[in-house]
Formats: sequence, C-alpha cells, structure tokens
Amino acid sequence: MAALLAAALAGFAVLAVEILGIHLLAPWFGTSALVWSQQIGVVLLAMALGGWAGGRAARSGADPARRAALLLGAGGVLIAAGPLLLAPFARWMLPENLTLDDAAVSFLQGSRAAALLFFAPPVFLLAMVSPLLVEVRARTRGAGLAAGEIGAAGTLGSLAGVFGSAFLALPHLGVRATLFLTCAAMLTAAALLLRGRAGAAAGLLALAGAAGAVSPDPAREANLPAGARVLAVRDSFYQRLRVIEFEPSGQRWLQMNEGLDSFQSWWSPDAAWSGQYYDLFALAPLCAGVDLQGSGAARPVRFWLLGAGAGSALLPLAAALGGRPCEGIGVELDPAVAELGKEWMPLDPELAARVPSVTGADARSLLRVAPADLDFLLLDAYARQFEIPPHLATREFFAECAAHLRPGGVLAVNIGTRDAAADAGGLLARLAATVRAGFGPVVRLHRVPRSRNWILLACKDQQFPALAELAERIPPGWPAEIGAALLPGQTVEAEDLPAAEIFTDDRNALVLLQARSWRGGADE
Amino acid sequence: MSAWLLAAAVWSQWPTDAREVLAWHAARSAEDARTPATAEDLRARLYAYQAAGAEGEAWNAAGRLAALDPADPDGLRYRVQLCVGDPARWEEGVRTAEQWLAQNSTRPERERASVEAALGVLRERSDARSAALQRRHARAWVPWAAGAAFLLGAAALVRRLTARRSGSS
Repeated sequence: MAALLAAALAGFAVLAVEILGIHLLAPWFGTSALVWSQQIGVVLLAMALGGWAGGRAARSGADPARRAALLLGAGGVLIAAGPLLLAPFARWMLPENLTLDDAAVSFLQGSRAAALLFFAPPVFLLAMVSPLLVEVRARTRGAGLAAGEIGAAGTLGSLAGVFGSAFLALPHLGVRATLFLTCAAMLTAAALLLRGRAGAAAGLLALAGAAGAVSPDPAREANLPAGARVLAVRDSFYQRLRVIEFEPSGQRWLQMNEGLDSFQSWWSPDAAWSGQYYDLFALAPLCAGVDLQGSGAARPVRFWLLGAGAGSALLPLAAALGGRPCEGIGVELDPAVAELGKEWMPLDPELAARVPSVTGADARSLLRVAPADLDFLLLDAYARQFEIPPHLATREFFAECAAHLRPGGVLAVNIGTRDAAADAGGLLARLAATVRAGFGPVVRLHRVPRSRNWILLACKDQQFPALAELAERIPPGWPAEIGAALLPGQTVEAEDLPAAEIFTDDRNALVLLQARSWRGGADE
Repeated sequence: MSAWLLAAAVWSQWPTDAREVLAWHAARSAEDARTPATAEDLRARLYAYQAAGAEGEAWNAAGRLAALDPADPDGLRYRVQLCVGDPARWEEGVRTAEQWLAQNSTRPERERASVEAALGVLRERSDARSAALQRRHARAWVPWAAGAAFLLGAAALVRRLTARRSGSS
C-alpha cells in the first residue's frame, strides 16, 4: 500500500512542479507561449530520462524500496529549493534598466535555465521512483500487475496534481506554500517507505518543509518600476497579478507576470482621460457616427469591450459618451483581474452599473450571444502580458465581430508591436490583412502618441469620415493626443498597407510571429 | 526671431485639445498650399506637434526644416530633441547630436548648450541600456550550462547506481 501511495504522491508532485513552476517563473520571466513550451519540454525530458534511469536503478539488486524512498526525499528537498533559490537567480539573470521590449530575450534564457536548474532535477528524481516501486511490488504480485497498479496510482496522483494545482493550490494555498507542502508530502512518503530511524529523520525534514509554506514571498516586488509601491499581489489561474501605486500622483497600475514598464490596467483617482492608448478607443463611437453631443432621448449607445481588465478603457469612453445613455458589456477572462480592479481601481458606481463586467468567460465564446446591432466593439485582449490570443485574431473571428455590429459600426483593436505597418511579414500588416479579409476592407491604423501601440479601426459597410469631418465631430475637451493620432503622419490608410498573409482558425502563426517580433526587437 | 519671441509665438498657437490639433494642422496644410513654409513656421509646428504627441508629424517637420536649407542645421537639432523621447532612436540621437556639435561650433551658445544637454541625456540612457544588453548577452551561456549540469548530474547518478549493481553481481 505504501508503494501505491508513494507512486501517487510522486505523480502528484511531478504535475505540481510542472504547473506551479510556471507560476513561480511568472513574476520574473512571464508565461509567454515560449516559456510554457520550454517548461513542458524540460519537464517531459526530465520524466523520460528519469523513467529510463529508474529502470536501470531497479535492476541493480539493491533494496528498491530504500532507493525509492531516498529519491522521493531528495526530490522533495529539490522541490523546496525552487521557491527559495529562484528569486536570487532571477535577479542575477535579469539586468536592471531593461524595458519589457529589451528584456524579452532574458525572459526566454532565464526561464529555460531556471526550468533546467530548479524543476528538471526533482522531476528526474521523482520519475525514477515508479520503476523502483514496480520492482518492489513485482516481488509479490508479478511484473505486469505491479506495473499496472503503480502506473494507475501515479496517473491518479498526476490527475490530482493538475486539478489540485489549478483549483486548490492557486486560489487558496498559494504557489510557494503548495510547493513546500509538496516537499513535505514527498518526505512523508519517504518516511513511510523507510521506517525506522531514517524514516523518522525524513519525517522531521517533512515538518521543516511544511514550515517553509509560511515564508515570505520574495517575488512580491520583482521587476518593480521606480517610484512604485506594491498594494496587492495575487496568483490567479492565468497569471501573477500585482497592483502598484506611484506617489505622489496616486496613479495605479495592475501588472501581470513580469511587470517591468508595462501594465494591464491603469487607474487614476482624478483623471478620466488616461494619456494612454485607452483614450483612442473614444475614436470608435466617433467614427461610428454616434452623436456624442446629442441628447439622452436617442437610442442607447450599444457596445462591448472584449478584454475589459479593470475597466481602464471605460473611463475615457464614459468621458467621450458624456451623458448619452449606453448599454455596454465588459468581458474579462480572469475573474481575479476584475476583483482586484474593484478593490483597488474602483470605477464610478454609476458607470460600473451601466457597463457590467462578465468574468471567467472567453471573449470569443461570449461574443456569440452579443446583440447584432452594436455601435462599436473594442478589442483589448492580451494573454501573458504581450500576446494577442490567436483565436481572437483570425479571419473567422473578425467576421463574427462584423456580424454583431450595425452597418457603420466600428471595431477598434489595440495592437502592441514594434513592427512597422509597411512590413508585409510583420504583425501589424498581417493583422490588418486578417481584419480586412474577415471584417471588411475599410480599415485604418492610428499610432498611439508616445507609445509603441497602434489602434486599428475597421468600419462595417461604410467608409470612414474624412479628417475634416471627424474634426467637426470631436467635442471640445478631448485630449490633444487623440487629435495627434488622427494626423496623417500618425495614420496608415488601408491602401497604404502591403498585401500580407492572413491568420485563420486553421492556420495561425501569430504566437511564433509575436515571439519573433519581440526577440527581433530585443536583438536590435 | 529671438528665442523668447519664438516661444511666445508657439505658445499662442499651441493646440490644447484634439479638436484644436486637427484644426491647427488643417490651417497649416492650407498655408502650405498657398506658400512654402518658412523655417520659423516649421520650428513652431515642430514644437506644437511634439507637445501634442504627434511624433510622426514632428519628425516630418524636422526633416522639412533640414531639407529647407541644408546649411541650416536646426532640423537636425530638433531631431536630436525628438530622439530623447523615443527609446528606439536613442542611438541615432547620440550620433546626430555628435554630428551636429562637430559641424556647428560657431552656432549660438544656447543652441549648443541645448544639444549638449540632450546628448548627455541620450548618452546616459543609451549607455545604461547598452550595459544592460551587454549583461544580458553575458548571461547567454547560462541556459546551456544549466542543461549541461542537469545532464551531467543525471548521468553521474545513473552511473553510481549501475556501478553498485556491477559491484554486487
């Protein structure tokens, strides 16, 4: 029975290390698709090598139960080393004074090295355990039955590791505490197999490992921008989240994962216009022909915001819409983002009531239940800091967007990239081409002042108003930056865009393209 | 025109909101259609575009200023100022500033001082970034070393375990 329990615990620990390891890396190196791929690749390599090595160890003739116990104990200790040693290692790997753009290569190098140093060794040792336990059990139950039982126990443990990490560890225990408790569990399993004095020693070590669960989190202030202080930190199912505040302005950022000079949501105690790219979302109702200076008697303005975050885009939008009645929905995948937003970046209660947020749902799935007569649709969905989710950037998705807009309705997309619009192989040109293929041919790009971001506007079945007409429509008091973004030097018209390959649901190289874009930018 | 007169002239036409920026730009474009812009006009526009965050227009105005009179180095001088705010142009800004200072030793002291100040900021930022990038390059071996350490450690453990087997048999 002890062998089955040990196999299950080893299986649990391997999956816990794989999944929680990513969350441990997140505050330092992010969780981009490449970081995820590296982590999975390293863990699978370690499992393969461990299985092979365990098989050889099982043939050695030495006491396999004792060896399995020692490997479990050593694996447990190495699991605990990750949360303890990762922070100093990451500080050493990540040079100071780098922007998010420049740090991209460091993220890949650092996460690969960290996975090899802190996650591969315990997984290797734990993967060695199964063949040894099969050897133990085969002496009384035969090789086939023993292999089946140990394999089943290990797989059930892995199952518990997957769901336990996602639904118990992350929301309740925390990443570090779970890893320390996993260490304690491994040492307890070792104690059960060893028994006697060695077992007692392993039990004592298990208590020490469990005590580590209450140690402070060194990643709380990882990559903190100058002049900021941390208000709150939370590990969600999707990412590490942190709210920081700058003095004396009181401006707050909600950051995800590696932080640095980037933010997921922005909030100020006394400003509606942010000075950030969010302000340019006000162009959507303007270009859609919404009468921004009209009375409240008109039809309510209808819009959806996909990727609502903490609602930063709603502040300038509310300022733009003024007293116009509106019916909006904000969609945010990560409930923790909305919760932190409510607590630390509160919206005006009336605005929050007019534009409720739906959390925990994917933007594309939820869009299918949106009305078909929206005035405009805002797309600000990013995953893992700087990756546009591939399924929200395909010809089919943009066609679905068009289906939910009235004629003349406008889609506005925030695109962060260093690629030039003229680069046919670049992200900007390919996304614009995809929008034109799925949504319709009328698109326009505006460069966000003092930023690397662009706002792509697409109009359904109608041409955009001329610049002079837009100037007439803009109400007084909108920030100068919006006017600046509309000038010819900041604008790329559809006819100036190169022909480019599009993204579809079937063939989508967006993740690779974004990775190349960031790596290329960082290597300049 | 003296510096303070130019600043006052620019201030008087400074667009303060989106509508004014567009109207201001439209008026300048209409002026261009009638008569070519003077260097004074372009300088004023450059300040205004820069203040509004229209880096593309400011860059174009600086280029036009430089093209207007190749002997007049103000276009390059303003481009140096524009480079300060754009991390992608720090290195270019350093080169341009150094070139401007080398070729304009007889320009008024206040102009040279402004370029020197901008060069100082650009060098500081550019150097800090270069040093960080160098440190990043210097760590490029770490993943390889980590991989090698892991594989060597695993091999050593397997060898130790199988060596026991040989000894016992």
